[in-house]
Amino acid sequence: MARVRIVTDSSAHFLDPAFVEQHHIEVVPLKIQIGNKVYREGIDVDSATFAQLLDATGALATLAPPSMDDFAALYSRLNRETDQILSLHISRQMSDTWDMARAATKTLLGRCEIGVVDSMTTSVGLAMLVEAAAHLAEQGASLDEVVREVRALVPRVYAVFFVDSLDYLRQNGLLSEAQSILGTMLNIKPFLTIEEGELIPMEKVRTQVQAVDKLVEFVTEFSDVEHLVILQSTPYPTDDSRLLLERLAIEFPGEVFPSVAYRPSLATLIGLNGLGLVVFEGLDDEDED
Amino acid sequence: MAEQPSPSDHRSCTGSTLRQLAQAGRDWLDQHHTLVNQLNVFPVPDGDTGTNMLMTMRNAIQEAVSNESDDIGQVASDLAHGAMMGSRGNSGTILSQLWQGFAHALKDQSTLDAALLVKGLREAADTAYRGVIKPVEGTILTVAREMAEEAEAAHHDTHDMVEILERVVQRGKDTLARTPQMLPILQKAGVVDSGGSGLVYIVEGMLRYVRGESVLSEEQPVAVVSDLAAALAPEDELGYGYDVQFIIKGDSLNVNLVRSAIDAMGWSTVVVGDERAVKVHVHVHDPGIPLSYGVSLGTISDIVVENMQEQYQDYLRARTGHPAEASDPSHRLDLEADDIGVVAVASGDGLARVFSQLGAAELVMGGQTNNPSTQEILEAIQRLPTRRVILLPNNKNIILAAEQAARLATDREVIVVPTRSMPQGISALLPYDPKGDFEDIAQAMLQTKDDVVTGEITTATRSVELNGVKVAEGQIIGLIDGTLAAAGDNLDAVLRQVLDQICTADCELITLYYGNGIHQDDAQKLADDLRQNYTEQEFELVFGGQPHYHYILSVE
Repeated sequence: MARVRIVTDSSAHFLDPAFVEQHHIEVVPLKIQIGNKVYREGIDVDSATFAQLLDATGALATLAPPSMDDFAALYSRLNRETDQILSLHISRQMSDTWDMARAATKTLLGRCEIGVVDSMTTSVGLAMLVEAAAHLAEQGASLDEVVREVRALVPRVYAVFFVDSLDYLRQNGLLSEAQSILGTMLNIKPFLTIEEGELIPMEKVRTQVQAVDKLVEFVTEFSDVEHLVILQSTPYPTDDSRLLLERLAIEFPGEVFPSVAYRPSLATLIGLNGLGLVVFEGLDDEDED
Repeated sequence: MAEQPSPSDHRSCTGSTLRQLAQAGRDWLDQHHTLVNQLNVFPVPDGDTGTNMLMTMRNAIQEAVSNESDDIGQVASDLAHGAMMGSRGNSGTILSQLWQGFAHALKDQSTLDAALLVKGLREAADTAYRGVIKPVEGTILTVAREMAEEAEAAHHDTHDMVEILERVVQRGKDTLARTPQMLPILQKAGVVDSGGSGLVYIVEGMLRYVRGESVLSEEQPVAVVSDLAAALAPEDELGYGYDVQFIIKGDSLNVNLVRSAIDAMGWSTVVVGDERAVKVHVHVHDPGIPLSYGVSLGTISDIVVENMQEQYQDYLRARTGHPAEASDPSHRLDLEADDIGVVAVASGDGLARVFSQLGAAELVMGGQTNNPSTQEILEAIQRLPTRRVILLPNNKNIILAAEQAARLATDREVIVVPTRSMPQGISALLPYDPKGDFEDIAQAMLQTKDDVVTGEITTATRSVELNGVKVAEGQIIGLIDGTLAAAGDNLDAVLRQVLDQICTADCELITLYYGNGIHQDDAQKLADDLRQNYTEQEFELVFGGQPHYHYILSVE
């Protein structure tokens, strides 16, 4: 039986960009609409150009899923090599990508087994799940096994962010009225967490130091952190992320945590000046056996 | 006042007499409430004790006169209920608790005798002590307790209630005079305790009534009367009517005659003057009547006619619900019964909007000078659709009334997070999450309220020397977390002094809320100047719209 092939979308943020090619991952670009123009993430727009495009138009960006045809074409191409595909995507609560992928599977009904899985996260967290799935597939696991394993990993991925505005979330229709508590008169940084796949504003702080304190507090509540990645707004450390790294160095002496500039698809949701982190929770020793 | 009790009545008292006694207490306090207001420890325009106690008494009497029962227990219970719902400020709330204790002792009784009076005073003091978490001596509580002790002592010697009352009033005055020795801050401020003073006036008014002495003096300050009227529900079903003021100039005017004629036309009459000029102040439903009368006597001038019904309705609008911009539906929370709702007391349109945008679904307008009543707070709680409520009083003088309102809201769980300033309230709202765990959220709010230091810039209402700061009336003063910290003639300089004291090395963000008396351009210029000096900090300038306080600063 041919190996399970892995499909994801461009919101998946791999720390090592070469991973995609080395492990034959297929990445479907998400669409980002700025004004009346649509850009494909990773092709027409990347982290470096996104901010410029926004500045130039002054408009907010919205995230749009790939079309059903994009998925159908890709699945059909992969079907020549395999009859098992895992399609692992950005949270259904943040984008309709999962629904498009799911709809596209109908075109291959009976010819190819396609598991469309909601990662309930995005960005680095999604990439971590894709990496785990790829390793399982390479070890010869069946689609059912990969799906089961990945679903078991989903609850271990955590992501939290501080943003300087909820306008982006609102613009993308991702805020319920009850969540839109936010002073526009005051400069307030809401703390967002991804819960059940949804970006939810939890509490708010007013200063950088308070924000960094909250993030550090969030990390130190885990008894076992397997991976921790800092998401910052630029490729180089910002004031905030530098402060966060300093604080984490005190809490976790000797450990080095990677920091990356988050991608446009996440920027459409949290804005350009966010600071966040993704935690992949380890298993406590007692649970490991 | 026709039913003046004769001396033979001094061993018992009925409900209707208690009602009259309470009215006499209110009237005597009314005569002196501005004096009581001036006993404010800090020279700031703050929730005025005399006004708060007077409004509490007025509400008590309004409730009591709506019921014609002559049973002492019923009348006392009505007074207590009215006082409770109408209580404003800490002293007003303690006063309402005194009434509650008194009423409890008189429960189911038809008449009052000396023994019951003594018991009532004792229970009044005990109830008030229980209502305060950390009772402080040298306050209204001490005065109430020592009055009760004196009543007990007097009762050994006599069963004549007038004699007991005489000793109680004298003891109250003596205790009041000793309050500065018990409470150093009073000593420093050179005043006696204001709440205790209000209480002494109320009981003294009752004593004057039974002695047949007047509880009304003629030189009533006009401005104060109209201010207070605007803050009270109309006693007349025609509504408030008009506040009419004018001066009659003539040759041989008879002030007493004018007074009785004017008094027959309306209410809240003040008529003062001499043969050549008489100043008239009266509230009437038809302003034409006193004006025509004035013209019939001579020439009239300085005519002021104000529609009090309109003022009252504006006032009601301002105090209930949201100010226009705050009610922007995109910022209104859509709360469900299981969520946590927040009621916040806000002073000024801008601050109201800030609270609203941060998730306070119901606001009670009031604050520094205009403390909301227990009832207003209770109504705000009841407007919320949620079973669990967090209450932010945002002023130290509103905390007791808020706690009382929380106890009265028996159909909900209410937690008061005792925020003492607007910035503390704003800070407390940051961790608020309507879907969170009630206890956890309340705990988090309790903690974050202390993340800010509050600075307040206002104009001194009197001269005083406190905390080594010498202040002359009319000067600009700065307070840090309620303590006098700076004074001077220049607003910017005082504000900088305050900032210098608050702003330590790790302070990051300074928010300036400018008041309704400050022009936006001036505030902007000040903020720009400050940014030059405080380069390490972020500055935020926000319209607060609060009265009396030129600037409120939040430093974190």
